[in-house]
Amino acid sequence: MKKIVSILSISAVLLVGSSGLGAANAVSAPKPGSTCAINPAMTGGSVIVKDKSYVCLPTARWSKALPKSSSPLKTKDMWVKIADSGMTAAFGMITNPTKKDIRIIAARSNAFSTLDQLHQMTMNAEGTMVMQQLATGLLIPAGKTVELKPGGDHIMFMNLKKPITAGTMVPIMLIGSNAEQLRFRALGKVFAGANESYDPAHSGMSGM
Amino acid sequence: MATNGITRRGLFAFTGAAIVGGAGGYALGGISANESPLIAQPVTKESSSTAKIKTPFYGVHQAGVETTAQVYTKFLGLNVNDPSRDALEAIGRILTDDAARLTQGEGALGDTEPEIAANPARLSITLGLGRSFIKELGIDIPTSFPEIPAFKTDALDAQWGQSDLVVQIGSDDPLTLSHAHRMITKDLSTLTTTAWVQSGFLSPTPATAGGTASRNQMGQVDGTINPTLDQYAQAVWIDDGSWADGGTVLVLRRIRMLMDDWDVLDRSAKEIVVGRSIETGAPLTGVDQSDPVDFDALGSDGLPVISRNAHIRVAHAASIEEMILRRPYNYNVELADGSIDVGLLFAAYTKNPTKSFIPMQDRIAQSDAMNRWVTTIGSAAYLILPGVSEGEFLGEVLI
Repeated sequence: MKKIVSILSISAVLLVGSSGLGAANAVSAPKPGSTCAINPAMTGGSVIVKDKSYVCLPTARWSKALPKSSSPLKTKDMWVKIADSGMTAAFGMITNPTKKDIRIIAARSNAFSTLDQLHQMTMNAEGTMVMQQLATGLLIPAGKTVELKPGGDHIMFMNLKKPITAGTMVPIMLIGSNAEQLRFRALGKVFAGANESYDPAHSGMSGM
Repeated sequence: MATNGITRRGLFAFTGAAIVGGAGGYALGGISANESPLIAQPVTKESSSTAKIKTPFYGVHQAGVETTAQVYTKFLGLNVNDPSRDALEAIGRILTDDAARLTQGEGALGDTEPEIAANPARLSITLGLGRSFIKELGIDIPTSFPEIPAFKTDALDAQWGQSDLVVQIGSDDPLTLSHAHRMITKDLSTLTTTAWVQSGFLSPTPATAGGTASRNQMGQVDGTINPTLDQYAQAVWIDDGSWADGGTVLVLRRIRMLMDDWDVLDRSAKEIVVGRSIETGAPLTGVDQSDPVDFDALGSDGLPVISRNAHIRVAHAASIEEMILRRPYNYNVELADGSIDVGLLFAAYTKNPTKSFIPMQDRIAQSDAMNRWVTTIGSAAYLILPGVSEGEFLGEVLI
């Protein structure tokens, strides 16, 4: 048997991989030209240092800003199952407030994982869930909300570069079919479920 | 007038030396008598009627202090596995996210039993930090948060001692409380280790018809004097100009009641010890529970009606700044041999213990007649963090 790693028994899986997001958590102040206020009520200040954008948190600390999303999709309640290595998954709600369907074709979390693929879980002839290359992506219908949840659709992290620990705000980017980018952070949480096995050696990447 | 050797004269003699010149000092006018730490004051509500009631989570102050005491509570004493600001941030983010959802009747993220969360029943979740943990992070301790000294009457068991953090959870629904407890413990399981859990309860039924007070396991009616809401700024909320502004100091004492010894006393003796009627909770100088205490009143025998070391005299606060917010709960633990350990989780909230709790507890340790029937077996103190707005997390002010 080839290496068995964790995954979820799902209909659609977005594998998270490489490409450009910054560090997960707030970082100490950037120096050049920074004016982050000490007044806790002061929020919204921002500064660019070495091509990286930082925003002032309510506590006068600087946080590496997520680049602005170019996708009209909205996310809510995003979280990631913590893991030391291997694979894990992210969940939450994705809403399409527009009047046109939007298709997500890729996911990235460069800070935490390296493999960049889109997969889909489908039932094979033997009644087993198998994971296949997802050619068409995850559809978010116009005006609808799609819930990603354990046992359902989810965003997949392959080949973790480093552990995702509890309380970490993990930056994730989803990419739409027109190359539009949806950026958000997901909270690392302890979760015992979502442990279905996955055999990458199998041609269809069968799961159980 | 009393039996079992307890008389007002006898009580005075018993600890008279310790309170020489004390009578005047404890009987200053203006402020009503502070109540017994053994007499709780929460206004309780029937659990069935509060199932859907949500206690706001966000605000200048954390919930669970001003919040009318819920029927059930758990205090979780947690130690941080790897103390650092990063750990505090992770804990703060997780606890804030959980609390913001659970208190509003929603499941937590990744909640496997979200249906239980649907009845918050006034759920509140409150985070506090211990003194040595704050120090360990290299953060200045606010002047409002002094070390709480040991008192000579304490018989402290380390089992109930100081921890890095406290999470206080309260709800009128014990199932909701249990769910929140488990969710939080699970979510923090990689970051903290539980040192102890102290569970408490109140009667959901007022002790007296039309009243708001509850009875403790010694039978005493509580509900006497706590700061009124407009006195919280002076008595409860920190404003020393530090990062802790908007927070408060929680002193959590586990007070065992020596019920077998208390049983020996006649009712009149018990009332002399406390200074209040068991049946009505009224001071022995009054008729109603809410009557102010007349510490100067003398009986026909020429002795003070409220004995020199009656509990309510010794615990009396002479000013608002000396007051503490009492939010005590009963505890009842079944022991392996079939006996029970009963007492109080005495939760005191104060703006600055140096002015309020510490001098009061010093007086109690010196001369309180109640000391023969209660023993403090656990003590810990926490800085209850300031409240947060949406988008912030508890403890963010320290990161």
